Amino acid sequence: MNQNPLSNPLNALPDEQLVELFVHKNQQVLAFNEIMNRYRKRVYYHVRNLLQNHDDADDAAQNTFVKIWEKLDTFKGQSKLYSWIYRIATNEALTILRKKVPNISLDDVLPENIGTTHGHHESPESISQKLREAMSQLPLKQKMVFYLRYFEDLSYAQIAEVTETSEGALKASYFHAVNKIEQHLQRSI
Amino acid sequence: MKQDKTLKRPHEAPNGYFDGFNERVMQKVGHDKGKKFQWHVKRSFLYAAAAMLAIIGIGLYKMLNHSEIRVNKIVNTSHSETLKDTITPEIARIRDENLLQYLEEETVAQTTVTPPVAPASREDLSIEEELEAEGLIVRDLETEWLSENEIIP
Repeated sequence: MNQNPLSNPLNALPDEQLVELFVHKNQQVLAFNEIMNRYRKRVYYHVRNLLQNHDDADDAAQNTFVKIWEKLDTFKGQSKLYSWIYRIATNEALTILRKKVPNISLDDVLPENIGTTHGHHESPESISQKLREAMSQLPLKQKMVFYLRYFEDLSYAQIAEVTETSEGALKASYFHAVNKIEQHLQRSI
Repeated sequence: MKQDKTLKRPHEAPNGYFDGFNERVMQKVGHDKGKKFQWHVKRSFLYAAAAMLAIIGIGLYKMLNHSEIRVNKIVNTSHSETLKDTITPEIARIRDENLLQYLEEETVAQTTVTPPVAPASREDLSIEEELEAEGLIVRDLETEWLSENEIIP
């Protein structure tokens, strides 16, 4: 993703062409590496937001790309590649969560003892700490919508593709999430 | 270009986490096509072996089952039942005729058998001595081993 385009000609290709390249077996590894370069950070932070634990997020991120490797040749292109990848990542995160909290859904709030394990690499800034606390109290779906909208700059239409939810419902989720985070930050700062 | 955010991303990845990320994933998926292919070959071999074992197992089961049925058939079918089921009056008649004929032949054979030679009486011995004395019979020493009852004509 941060590589010099001259050193990697695949940098300039749109996602759709990368998928086409992946289908050709002699280009498979190259195309897949480029997809990882583009999406590994986004995938990691997305699942980290849901799991709030580096080790789990690492597992989920790696498993996401393993799934992509296994299934990309069946990808029909009916949705955008990024939304397909985010969907896989979300499912992988939920799979890991369900090992700890069976039957958890995107509408649930993560229990306090899950995801509160702060790694030794946490940001020292107190604002980030407060934000984490505020987001940890959100149901998973609101947390995901807020994260994708606020930090990943995805449009509602794009988030709708990822979450397979209507844009109206997403706007409501985002609105609730912002309100709760603001209230929390106002109380604690 | 992204707008400046009031809030920073709530989590940060550990330093250097993304270095080598691709390699770690590639290891998980089997490094390269070669390894993936190897795994496919291994998996295909396992499937083939499992299929062969299943076929052999089914074959053995059927074979054993079949021979068991045959044994059961033989065991469950008594001899009398078999005869009862198979002997018709015509066969019975022929059987009886043959049996009768056999018995008759046996009787005839028994009557034609040469009866055993009765031991020579004293009278026979005295007659023999008289004949010998008259020179009508010559006692050959080499024939002494013969039974006393055997008279050379």
